[in-house]
Amino acid sequence: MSTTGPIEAYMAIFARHLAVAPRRRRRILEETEGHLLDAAEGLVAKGRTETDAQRQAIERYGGPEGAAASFGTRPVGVLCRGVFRVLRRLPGRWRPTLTPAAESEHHLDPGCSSMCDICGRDVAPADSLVTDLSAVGEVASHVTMVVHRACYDLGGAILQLRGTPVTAAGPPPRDRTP
Amino acid sequence: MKGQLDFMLLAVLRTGPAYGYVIIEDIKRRSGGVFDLPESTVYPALHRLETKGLLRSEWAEVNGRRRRVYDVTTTGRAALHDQRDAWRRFSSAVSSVGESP
Repeated sequence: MSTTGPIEAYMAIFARHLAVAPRRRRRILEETEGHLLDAAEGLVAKGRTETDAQRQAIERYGGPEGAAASFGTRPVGVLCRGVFRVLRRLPGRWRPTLTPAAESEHHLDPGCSSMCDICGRDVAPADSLVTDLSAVGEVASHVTMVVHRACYDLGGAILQLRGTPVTAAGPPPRDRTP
Repeated sequence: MKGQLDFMLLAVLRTGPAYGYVIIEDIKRRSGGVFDLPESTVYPALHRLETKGLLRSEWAEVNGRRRRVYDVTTTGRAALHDQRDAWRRFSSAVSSVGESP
């Protein structure tokens, strides 16, 4: 059974809407795709064409958005667990700053795959930002994260997650340009 | 329906380990096609039962593909036994009421 075609398109949408922790995400994606392929193979064995079998398997499974949502969503605190764990180690308050390389357009290497440190989803190279978290005031330490552009508000608020402020720590950097 | 789905999943897996697609097909077959659920509903239920300790799972190579195979734990078997008793009492009571003149 080919993995291209309707099942591939379905999995792309499903993956975009799946908001769970990274380890659980990998398992759910593999189980879901495996199920659809099994179902399609069963239909091919009954005489369907491969494309029709994939479409019917998808229909029986249910829409990708709803199917993804049925696994629940990560609460904000869990979603940003990696970030907050880092932040707790930083002295005082902090703010994110763009690395010099990210001030214009920053991309991961085309062959590199990565996961957003905020939402846990795969980050396409063209959609990535590398950002530093620095303590406000004297910088005693900083950490670097790879995040989606949408998870990092270039307008100045601090680490917006899907438009909702996650936290605020000090005034936005005055020298920031979107 | 959620409670009944959990019950059916435990009952199907009591007979032996299986992966998701086989579990769903077994439920359909055993129910005579009455329970033809959207198949995506089963996996969250399996994960929930595993989180509760009623199931365990592991990856296994089955028919040339890697699949997540589920099995009932001892706790799951005890829970299934309790649920069966409860279901029998419930359905018996409903029948008594429904069939009384």
